Amino acid sequence: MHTLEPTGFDLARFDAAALARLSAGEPAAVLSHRAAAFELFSALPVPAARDEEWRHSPGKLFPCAAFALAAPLRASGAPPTADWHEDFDAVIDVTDETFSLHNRAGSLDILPLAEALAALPAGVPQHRRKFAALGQAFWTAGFFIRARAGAPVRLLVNWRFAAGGKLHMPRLVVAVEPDAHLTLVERFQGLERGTTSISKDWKADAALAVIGAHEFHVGAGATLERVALHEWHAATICIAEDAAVVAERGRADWVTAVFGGRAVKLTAGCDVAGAGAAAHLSGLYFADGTQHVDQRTLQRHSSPDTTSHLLYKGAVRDQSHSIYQGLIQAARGAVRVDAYQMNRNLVLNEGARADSLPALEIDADDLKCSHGSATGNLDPEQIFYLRARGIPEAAARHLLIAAYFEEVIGKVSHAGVQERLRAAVAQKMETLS
Amino acid sequence: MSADVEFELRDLRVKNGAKQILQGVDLTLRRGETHALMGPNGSGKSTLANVIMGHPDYEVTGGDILFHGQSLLGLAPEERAKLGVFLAFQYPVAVPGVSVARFLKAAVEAVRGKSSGGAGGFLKGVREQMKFLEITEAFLDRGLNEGFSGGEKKRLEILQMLLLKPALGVLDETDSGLDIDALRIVAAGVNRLRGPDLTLLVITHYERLLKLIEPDHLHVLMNGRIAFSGGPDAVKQLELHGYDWIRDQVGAEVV
Ligand SMILES: Nc1ncnc2c1ncn2[C@@H]1O[C@H](COP(=O)(O)OP(=O)(O)OP(=O)(O)O)[C@@H](O)[C@H]1O
Ligand SMILES: [Mg+2]
Repeated sequence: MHTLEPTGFDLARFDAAALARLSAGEPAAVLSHRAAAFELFSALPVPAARDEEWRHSPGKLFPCAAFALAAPLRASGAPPTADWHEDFDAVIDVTDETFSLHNRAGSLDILPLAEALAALPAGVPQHRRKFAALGQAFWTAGFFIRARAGAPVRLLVNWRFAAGGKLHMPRLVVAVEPDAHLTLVERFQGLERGTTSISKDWKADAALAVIGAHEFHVGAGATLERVALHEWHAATICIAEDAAVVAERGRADWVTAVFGGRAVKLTAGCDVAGAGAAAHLSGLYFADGTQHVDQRTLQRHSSPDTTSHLLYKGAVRDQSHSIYQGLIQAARGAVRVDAYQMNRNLVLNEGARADSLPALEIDADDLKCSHGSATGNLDPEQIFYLRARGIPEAAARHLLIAAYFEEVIGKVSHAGVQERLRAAVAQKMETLS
Repeated sequence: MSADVEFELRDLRVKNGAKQILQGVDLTLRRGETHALMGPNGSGKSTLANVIMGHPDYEVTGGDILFHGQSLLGLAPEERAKLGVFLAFQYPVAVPGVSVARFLKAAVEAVRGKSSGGAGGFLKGVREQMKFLEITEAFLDRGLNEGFSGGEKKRLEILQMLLLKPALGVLDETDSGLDIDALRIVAAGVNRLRGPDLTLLVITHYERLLKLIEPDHLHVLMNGRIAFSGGPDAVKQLELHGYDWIRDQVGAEVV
């Protein structure tokens, strides 16, 4: 069980002096940008165990203060990593404190964030959250990405951090300009593979901490397909607060997959902000050992005639714990809204736990809005049917678990990523009988 | 035990939860024979079928199930399937996300081993049987029984039987939900396999199926016991008089 003392987050070390050290030598525009975010960060309350959202994820699970802040990225001339890069028009490789950029796309601009700040769009309003603000102030690994109208472009970002006891703060600001089409695959990995069984002595094996704050601006008639693949090793803690805003007729398709990490807390917020905008948010997570996977989604409808569909499917085994919290918000006047939210959880053994907490905040009345959640083990009648056809019990379970995730895997367009997702699911089942 | 006995139930008693459903069932099927099993709703026919296949919810409280003289009781469902026992389900369950093609391949490989013809040879065999059962190839890519009509599910059950080539087939109301043409096609499918290598137990409510798959013997299950065993012609009396005919014959103590 994970019921730990509800101690708060220790964020005292993120002070003005730390910010000054981090940003020493940066241009004035960058400094003022960081300073504005730091002001917001300082004004926002520290998440506490009494907040409904953080009740299951107390600060003790995320001992950020135990890590030294990583140095800002330096460019390296490294060639792109092997996996998939030939399928992509551009690749950003971040390897610990260095990065390399490979961009063959004519309609895609990629800049280190410090060089791009003058061109940045105004921030996303619902990004006013404690860790998002922290990430905006203290980012160590930042990029600005702009996709211009033209042929669809594909960008792969490999975030790979060493298990050296440091805190890395990745940040993407992505602008998909009107009528542009961007596919973005982000793969998060630790450079060292851990085991899946994690000791209860959290501090002793803490090897890597990550706090991320990405923001996405999807222009009119533009499309963003984004896949985030969390393959952290077992000694990683990760908090990421991402937000997107989608203009009229724009479309955002998100798939978030979580397999790795010791404690992970992800927030994905999407505002379908212009008439005709649509968002499709999908999630896939599989926790084992004593993993803790907490995810929160926000589907915000600030305009009429907007759509958001969400499907998050997870599985927990061993002593792991998953939490899903979903919120649909429809602003006053947001009529003819179509919002859907579904969370399903497979609890594969006693001792594993999945909490599902959907919520609605609706200020309008002319809308179609539904949400639901279902949590349980595999269907014994399905298992019996497969066994009656000669398929051994363990193989039948594996087949059914793989089938369960297929619905989400099918939403990814890249075949290589699909295969990786299937392999990751299979790996999680290896010792499952 | 006589040498050609393929399958035998001896005083089989079965419980599901607190309810004693089968109260001592005796049946003997010789190699290559077809036996029909009828009986009112709730009399325990599907229970019998599921217990033969090894459904974990049913508890055998007495008696035995013998296949080639060997007890099946300690065996898992998958082991029974590998020995050649096949159940065509009354209500086949849907398994979304597992395609029919993938499932058929997994089942055939599990029961019969990897085919020497490779994936191409396997698919060729599947297509041939599908054609015979008039199942369009589009079904191969669909989720197993997902959104299938009642009749489509039953055809798929028989397709599986044709591919798995069992030694003992138990058909639980395979005729229910089939239209007139489909009934004929499915019965022809079953008859394709009939011969000395297939022993059949056909559970049904209606004579029409037994006209197409002609049994050698007929049994009636009532209140968890075999209340009547006889020749196939008895089905005519049943159609005419209903189960009261049995009740009159065997007396009130069974019912
Ligand atoms: N889990 C259970 N708990 C209690 N009773 C059960 C359970 N499962 C089955 N039964 C009962 O056992 C009896 C036999 O059911 P079974 O499905 O074997 O009948 P059947 O002969 O196949 O009927 P039908 O002709 O309608 O298919 C029924 O009365 C049924 O309600
Ligand atoms: Mg029945």
